Amino acid sequence: MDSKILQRIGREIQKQKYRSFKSSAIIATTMLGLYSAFLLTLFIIESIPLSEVILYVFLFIMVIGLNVASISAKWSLKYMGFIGVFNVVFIYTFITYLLFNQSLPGIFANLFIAFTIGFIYLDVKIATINHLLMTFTSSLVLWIFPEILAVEESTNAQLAVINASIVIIMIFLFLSALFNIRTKQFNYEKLAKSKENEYRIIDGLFQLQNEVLNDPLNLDVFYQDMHTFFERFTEKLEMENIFEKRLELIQDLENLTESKLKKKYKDVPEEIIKELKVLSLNSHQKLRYIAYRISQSNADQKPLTDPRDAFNSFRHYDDSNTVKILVFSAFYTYFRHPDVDRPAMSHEGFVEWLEKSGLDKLVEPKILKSFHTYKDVLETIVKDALEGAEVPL
Amino acid sequence: MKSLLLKIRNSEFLSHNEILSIKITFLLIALFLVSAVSIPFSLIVTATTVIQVIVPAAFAITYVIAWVLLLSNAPRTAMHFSILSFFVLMGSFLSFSNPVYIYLFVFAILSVIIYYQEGFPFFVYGTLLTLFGIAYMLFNVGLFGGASTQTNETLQIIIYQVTLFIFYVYFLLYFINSEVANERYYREFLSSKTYTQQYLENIVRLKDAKIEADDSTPVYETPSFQQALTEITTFLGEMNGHPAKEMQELVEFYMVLHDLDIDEAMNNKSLKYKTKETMRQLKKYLLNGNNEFTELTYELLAQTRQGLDSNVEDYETSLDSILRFETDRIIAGAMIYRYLKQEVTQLDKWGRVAESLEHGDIKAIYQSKAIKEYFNDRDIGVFLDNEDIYKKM
Repeated sequence: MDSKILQRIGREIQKQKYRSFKSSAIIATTMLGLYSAFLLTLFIIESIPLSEVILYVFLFIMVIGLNVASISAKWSLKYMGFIGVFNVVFIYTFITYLLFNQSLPGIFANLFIAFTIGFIYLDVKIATINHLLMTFTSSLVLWIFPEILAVEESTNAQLAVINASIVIIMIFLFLSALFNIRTKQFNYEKLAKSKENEYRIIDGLFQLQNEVLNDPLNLDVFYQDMHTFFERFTEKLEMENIFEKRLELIQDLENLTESKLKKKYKDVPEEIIKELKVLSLNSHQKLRYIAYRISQSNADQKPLTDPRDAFNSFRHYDDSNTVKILVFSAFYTYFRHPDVDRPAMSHEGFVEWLEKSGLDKLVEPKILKSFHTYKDVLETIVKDALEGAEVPL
Repeated sequence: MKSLLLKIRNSEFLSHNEILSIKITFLLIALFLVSAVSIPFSLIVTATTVIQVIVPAAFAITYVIAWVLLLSNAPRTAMHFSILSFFVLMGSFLSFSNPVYIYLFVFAILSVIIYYQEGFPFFVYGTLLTLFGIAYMLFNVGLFGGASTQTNETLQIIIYQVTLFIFYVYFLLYFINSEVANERYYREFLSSKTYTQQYLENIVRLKDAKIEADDSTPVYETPSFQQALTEITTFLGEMNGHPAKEMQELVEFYMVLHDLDIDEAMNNKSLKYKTKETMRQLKKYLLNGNNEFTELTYELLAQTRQGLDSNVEDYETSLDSILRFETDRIIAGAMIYRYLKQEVTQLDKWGRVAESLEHGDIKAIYQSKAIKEYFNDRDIGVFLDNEDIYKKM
């Protein structure tokens, strides 16, 4: 795939990620604010010296301010990620400091709050740091302050069992977080690819429609209609026809070469020309696709069932193994045959497009392995079938 | 084990239910280990019949049901039973004299529910558990305190309760945020998928028209296709441990389904359950309709098409984001109207792609919610205020 197209897909993925990260950051910042208010109340009740309280408040204001700035100023995803890491490290450090330096009752339980703040971010790096810090700090607290468990004579064995439980729970939650992050990332990619494919499928549709209906888009008639429309439109509104020149430019965008265009419209800023290019109908620009998309929005659309299971696959978990084999075989055989809208594909061509489209990941690995291993046998079967030879089984 | 690890590595390609099944498997194994330690221990330290008899029995029942449901492809219900098993296990912990253990166990169960990453179970079980935790501490104030706490017990209890409450509220926000993000993603994805299905519907109709015009045969009806499919399926089936006869019969059945009304056949009481189940599985992969198979083929074919020009930077469809000037948006709006009014985009009463939209249909689209994806209110207003001129196009 062209690197520019990959960049376009990448931008769409980043857009989705940013949107998700931003809402996580908003919740994390709100919770930091609430937690700081809770701590402040606790400090006042426990009569912590005012100078220390002011220092703590200052620290929290700085951290929350930084978070608010990153959200409102729309910092890039990279910097928002740094701030997420910073928040997690800060909150664990702060609670650990309180544990060792302030005799606050039950403060060890605040580690759970620190954990929740880190958990909200759907980012592998932040999740890893969060789970590691939670495991480390809670183990530290357990061995240094065993009395917090109110066990009068805690044995090493007892503490080891509790510590092992903490580690197991953290591993479970980390795995769950990883599943979640990977699924989200996959969804972003899936959505971006789905948007890219939508345009490509319409493209195939235009080609097929031209062939079948023998009715290509007549640009001369189209633009003539547009000129007539804007004459009437401006006449009705009793205004100068400010659309005429722009229409002419759009029409020229369809017909003239870039150098001729630059020469003719040397006074028009390049930015405007670039923007108007979107409106040209015959050069794979957006407008025609958008128009076709709109045309389908009134159609009786079939309701989809549970969206979480709406993904296409060759290996649905409730399909039998034999069905999975048959379906993939049908898919392969279909592409090895010519159809009315495409020629037959070679084995290599099929494998190439299968991998490029990512559809290979949707095939049961065992079946795919057999498919690759016995490539020559499959090739012979298809060749003989196409040539009409009967092969004994 | 190897296949389980492979599944985890490729978890993003698994369906939601498959991921859930893996999570449950892990959890049930861990639950077995925890119960193997805690239940015998609780039997030793307690003399109550409830703990000695009812808790182990209830645990065994819920635990076995969870496994049975998991193995019967009902992971969602199995998840509930695995959570219930944890609840029952908590009963054995109630026998311990140390209330901090109960407090930590409440967090452990909350973590288990969070581990599943499901909003509704967290809301139901999480609320019950949090209320239990808060109430338990309230009614057992005397038990808390521990060996080395210097401050008063009430404050410690309050800190424990507030921490538990914040933990719960925070995760509730996390799930709400996650649900909102998922909802947004699924909406966008399903919208793209639904439009794609519409385009594919038109492609299928155009292909049928071409087959009819050329007097040719659909691919799946050609003997070469059927021969190749039978042989490839049989071969790959044998390589994966399925007898040749079973695979050949399946292909035969698959081909027969192309001429059947499957919905009607599903209601036929004389058909065996297994036959109906195979029909249900194969229905989405038939070669003569617009279904999952068609979507998969065009997902691959899309890779061979151009689609948008590589210089187009994004998939934005809102004219507001694409064009800065109102003049250009009015031109775009008029061009879209002209396209919808004159170009063939709709099916006629015989199901052929042969019609364009009438003014009334276009007006209905412009007044629908779906149009907001493309036009702002002002652009729609321009159309509605000057409808008479548009109509003449």
